[in-house]
Amino acid sequence: MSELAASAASPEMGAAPLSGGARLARAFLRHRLAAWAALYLLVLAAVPLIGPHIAPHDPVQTDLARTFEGPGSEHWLGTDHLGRSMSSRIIAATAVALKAAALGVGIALVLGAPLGLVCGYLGGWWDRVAMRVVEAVIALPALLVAIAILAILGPSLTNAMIALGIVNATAFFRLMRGTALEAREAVYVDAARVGGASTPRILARHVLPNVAGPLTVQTTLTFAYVLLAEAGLSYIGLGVQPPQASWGVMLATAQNYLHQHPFMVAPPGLLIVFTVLAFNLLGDGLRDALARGEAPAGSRRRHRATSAPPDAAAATAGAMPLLRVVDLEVRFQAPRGGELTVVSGVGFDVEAGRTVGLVGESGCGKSVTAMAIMGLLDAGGQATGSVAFGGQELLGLPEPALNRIRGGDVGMIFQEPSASLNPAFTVKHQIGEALRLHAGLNRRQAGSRAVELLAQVGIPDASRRADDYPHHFSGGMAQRAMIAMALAGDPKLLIADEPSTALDVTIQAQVLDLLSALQEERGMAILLITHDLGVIADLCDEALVMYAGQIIERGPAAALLTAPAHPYTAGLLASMPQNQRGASLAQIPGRVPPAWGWPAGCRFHPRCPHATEACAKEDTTLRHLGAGRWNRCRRIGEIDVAEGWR
Amino acid sequence: MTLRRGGWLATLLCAAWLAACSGGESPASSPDAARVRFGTNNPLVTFDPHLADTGPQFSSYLTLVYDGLTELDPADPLRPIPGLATGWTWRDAVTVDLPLHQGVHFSDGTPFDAHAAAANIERLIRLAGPRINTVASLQGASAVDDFTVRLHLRHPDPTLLYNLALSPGMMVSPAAFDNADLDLNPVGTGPWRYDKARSKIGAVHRFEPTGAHFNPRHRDVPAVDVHVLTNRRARLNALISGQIDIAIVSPTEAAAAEDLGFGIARRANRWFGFTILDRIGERTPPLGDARVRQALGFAVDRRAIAEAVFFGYARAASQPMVEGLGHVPQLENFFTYDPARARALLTAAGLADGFSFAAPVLPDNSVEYEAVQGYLRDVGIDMEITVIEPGTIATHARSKTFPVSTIGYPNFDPDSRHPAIWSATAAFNPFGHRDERIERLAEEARRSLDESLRERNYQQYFNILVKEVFSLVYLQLDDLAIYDAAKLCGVEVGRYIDPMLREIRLAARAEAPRC
Amino acid sequence: MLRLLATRVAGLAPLLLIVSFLTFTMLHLVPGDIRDIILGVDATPEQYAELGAKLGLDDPFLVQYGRWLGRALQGDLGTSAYNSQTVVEAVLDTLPVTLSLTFGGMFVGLVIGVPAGVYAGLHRGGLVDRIAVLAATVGQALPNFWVAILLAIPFALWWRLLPATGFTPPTESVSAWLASIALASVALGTSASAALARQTRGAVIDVLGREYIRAARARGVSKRAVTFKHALKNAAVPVVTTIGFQVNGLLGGALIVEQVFGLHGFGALAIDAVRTQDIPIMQGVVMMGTVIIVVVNIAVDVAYGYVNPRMRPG
Repeated sequence: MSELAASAASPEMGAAPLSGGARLARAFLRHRLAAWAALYLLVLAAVPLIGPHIAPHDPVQTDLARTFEGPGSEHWLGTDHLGRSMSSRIIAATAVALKAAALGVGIALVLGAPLGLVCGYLGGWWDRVAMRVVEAVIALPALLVAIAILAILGPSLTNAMIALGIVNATAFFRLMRGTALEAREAVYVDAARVGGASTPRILARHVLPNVAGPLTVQTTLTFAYVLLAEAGLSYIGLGVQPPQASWGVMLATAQNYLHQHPFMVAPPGLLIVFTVLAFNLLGDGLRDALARGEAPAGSRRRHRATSAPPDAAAATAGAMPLLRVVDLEVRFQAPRGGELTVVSGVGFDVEAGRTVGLVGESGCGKSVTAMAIMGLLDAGGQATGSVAFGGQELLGLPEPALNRIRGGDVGMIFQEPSASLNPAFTVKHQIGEALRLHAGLNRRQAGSRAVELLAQVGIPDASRRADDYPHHFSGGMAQRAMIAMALAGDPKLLIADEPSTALDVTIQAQVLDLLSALQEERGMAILLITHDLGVIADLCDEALVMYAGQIIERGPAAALLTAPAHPYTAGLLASMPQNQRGASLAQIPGRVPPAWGWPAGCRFHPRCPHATEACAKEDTTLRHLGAGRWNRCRRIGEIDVAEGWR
Repeated sequence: MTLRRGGWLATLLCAAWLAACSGGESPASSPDAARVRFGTNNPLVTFDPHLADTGPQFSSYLTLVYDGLTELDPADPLRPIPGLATGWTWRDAVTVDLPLHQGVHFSDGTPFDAHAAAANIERLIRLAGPRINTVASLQGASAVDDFTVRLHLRHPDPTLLYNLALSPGMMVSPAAFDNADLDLNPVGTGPWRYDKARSKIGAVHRFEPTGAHFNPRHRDVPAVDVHVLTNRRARLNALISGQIDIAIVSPTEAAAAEDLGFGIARRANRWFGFTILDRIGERTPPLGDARVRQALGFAVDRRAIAEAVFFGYARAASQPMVEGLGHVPQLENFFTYDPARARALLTAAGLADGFSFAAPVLPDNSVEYEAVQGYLRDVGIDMEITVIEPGTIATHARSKTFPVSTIGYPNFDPDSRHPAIWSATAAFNPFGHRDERIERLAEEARRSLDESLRERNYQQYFNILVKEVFSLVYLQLDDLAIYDAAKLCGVEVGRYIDPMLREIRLAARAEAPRC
Repeated sequence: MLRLLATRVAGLAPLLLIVSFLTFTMLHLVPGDIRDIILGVDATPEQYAELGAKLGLDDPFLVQYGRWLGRALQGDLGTSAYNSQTVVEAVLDTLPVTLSLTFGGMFVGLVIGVPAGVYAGLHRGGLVDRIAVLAATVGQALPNFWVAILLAIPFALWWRLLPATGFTPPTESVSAWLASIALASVALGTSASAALARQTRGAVIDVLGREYIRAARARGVSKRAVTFKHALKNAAVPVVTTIGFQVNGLLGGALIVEQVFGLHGFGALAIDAVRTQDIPIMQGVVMMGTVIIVVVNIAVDVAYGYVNPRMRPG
């Protein structure tokens, strides 16, 4: 997933954005419901405190002359089988049920969490023993064990909760152990340890804050479980302590009088369902909130339509190039309604056999541009303008036709090779899939061809490795396999999205060398997306510099890198390690603004050392400077672009 | 791992599952319409009558496959009538001769004769099962001739022939005495044969009529399935949806079944209340004072509980014995609902501020004790209900854990009750309370063949027991059976909780007198 | 794969040893006395002591455990403490009921939960998805015995379409067997299908957002093929794991739900055993329950190995 789309369009990790109405509904369903659930639970929690004062009758006062009365003005919910006020009893039962559930959850927490924390953090022998025991306990039939524990302790609500607490402690143990284990490996804990912090201190300072969220979620969900289990145990007659009653006890008792007074089951039954529901909703809400972090409030704002003229320059004269992108604009549905433009007015050509680099910081729209070309924008994303490949317009092309081009004439490789290989299928199968689709090979031919391709991209012992699953491949090997897959359709254009970024430095060079060797051999064009100007320098004929969804500078790679014409390009160059002999590394201050925060005027002006008032007001255009160089900076010629970054 | 191998494994698991699911074979048997399907809450404990407790084991299981030398008169289930014995003759106060039916065989083919009968009596004495104290007078047995057995007693025992009509007197094939599985595979002479292959212990026990019983009355019995359904609601549901024809139920379910038009059979068999264990006031001093124990009696509105909690399937009462021996007519309304008097009694005992005590209660009985609790609270007595695990109620009654017991004892046969409950050496007298008056009265009565002396002694006995409240009786409870009246007739509840299965007939093929 | 199976099965032995010791210890602490059950309410103290000696109740705890373990190793889990039924017999007698309910519930859960979850996940945000999410959330909040009782009222008591109680083994009549477990299975399957639907939906959504899905699309695999081949196989991984977790819950639910339908399964056996202090039976039930859970989890692991190559050894 592209960084930009991830931050702007889709607040949920790895999730496809939705249509506006549905998204609103979902936001309501999720967060509103979780909020309502929290409110409901707060009110419920107040019942034990204020209940005795608002209950109109003594909950244990029997009146055998007035049994099984329906709801009325004196007894709001009628009376039960002993003539006791159902409303007063349900208020009392709420206190009992909540206190009991809190006890059960508390025992599970107190028993499981500290032990898990210590075992996970200390590891070693203790941890192994504890894990064996926990494994044994997990394999035990939980409710049978609870019944057995109840048999030892005698049936009572408290004992039922002790039993459920013991049974549930393993969940907390495993959660805490997992987190502590993770934290143990983490750098910041190492640092703290080197700094001489004691173990308890490290646990309290560094581990607990990380686990607080998941622990809250687990606690909430355990509450729901315990309430349900308590009702079940009460039903089979374990957990009663009359005349006190929990909801579970009331529900179980009500079963016996279904014939005489069916209404009796409604109040406790509904309360159990609502409360369990509320705990589950709250838990879900909390988990969601934790998983994604809160989406920025600003995302509600609609982005105003860009007034910038298209990069007219794209319409270069001469024969139709292999790929021609004209005035490409990409918009996404914003999470809370409205549309968000993330790429605007992008245009460029890629000639056959040439290498074009697309460079810029993360979040500038490089990957989105590539995805738009491939027609693989996330759901809710829409591209306008023109993408012509070999003279054929790709935007709006029907899926089957697009499927023939993807993986066929246009291959693509991705930043995270390991994540881009499907873990459930062998490497050979996945390469073979492309071969069967595009080269019309049968299964066996595809298999042997896949092995050839793997050998071609430099995988040793390819015939054996081909049958391996992706998780057996190192990052470099996986990227070679991805390249082999992209080559399967004998592409004329290879789109390489940060092909080396996720790899070790030495492997990076090997992969890049492989790419240029293959290009030479096959004469294919490459659209190389990178944030690394060094890669551009090594591989590219032409470079395009993107910033905040626009191309801000374009030109022959060598010329552009030796003499940048835009302050941003200069800034990128200045921050490259090898360009700063001895001097401290320069940095462009600030960050790339997100799509909903693009400034007016020149989008780079807030970070530009040369910015004037005009820069902040007037939109920029990509102007041709001659010699194949294009630039968006209005102050070009007035300033020494390198000056600001020293 | 290939898909094929996964499929193979799945097949194996499925096969294992199906194999596990396949119980015994399913030979053809009479259709459900021709069977009496009886739902009980009492699982089978043992088919060995000499080791069985009486109660439900007797009436739900043993009576189907075994006969006693005597049996109980269906019209008066406290009166012994001839069974395998054709009658009896007392030679003196401690010797009785019983002539036997001839030509009777056990289900394993072994003939029944006086030697078999004597061997059974000897076995009963040797095994000393749970009911041995009810036939403690037995010293031995001998065969006078092939078809007359003679019983020798240690001392006169007016209740012997009655108690021999229950499980202790049932005749087992001597060839099966040492069968390890006798407890699950009975060998008797009863009107039914136990179909072990088609039974599932704890779920259903099937009985097929032999059609060859020595008593012609029992030759036309229908096949019986005894379904164990421990959940009370499940028994009612099973009857409504047609899985069973008759069930033992609690009053709540009986009331519902009556509403729905099912037949009801009832008999007052047990009393409801407390047995005061700590009568000496060792742990709970107030209970050592008879006035306080009486206060517990006057505080409670018996009629209201009978109506509201037991739906009318109970009767207000003050004394343990419901009729016959030990029933004292003058005591019938000894306790009335009189909270003022209860408070006065407490005040007189120096407990104007009340007191508290704990009572162990089974989950199934908690509702009625909650009702009692409500009334006691009104006079300042705080009764704390401790719900106990079923199966532990007798343990608690043997220990000093609680000052009272809530066991609902049978309301007849005082000869058996005294040594179990109120005697100084009784198992359920953990505090060892000893009252010389009742010890003497009971000992005399239990060894006398003089009915008027027995009558007199037990009248005095219960006069003391009720007025000084060794046990506090609130109600006499009905044991209840609900049944499909269109299918069954002759349904009556016996003395031991369950309907008398030997008397039930199918309405469709029953002859006049029983239906 | 066979090696994985072998190690897992071998690992069963020490686990069962730990479990047997835990249960034996636990049950040893149960108050009450089996003698009350055998002897009834009127027994004398002498009878009491004699029976105790006969049953070895006075031996030290470890001696009692050692005796049990020694026999267990010979395939003899002992005999019920109060009749001549062997524990193996008692457990095998009740096993069909418990297995039928557990797997019946699982079946209902899979048949309803997985397709609902897949559909909801693929059509995220749509009307069906929102209904499914809400239904699943509510479904998880319903006590299963309560669902069972509510189902029994119309289907068994009013319309009498299905029996309210009783179990017919499949060997006797498959249709009667299905009828006898239908209501209980649906009651159990409610929460299982809710959990599976949520899990499946989440897994599908998660997988659809993965890079390899986009990569597959980028090499020209059609949307349909990507969904049904690449996405669902990967989404199966967490779903299969959930099945493993569900077994424990379903087994527990079966114990309670069988009471509603008067079925004689592990629940009835266990509750009776606790009430009658029948330690050998209780021991057998807990052990067998453990075996079921572990065996299902081994099966899940094998299935997991199939859907998730990363779990395969070598």
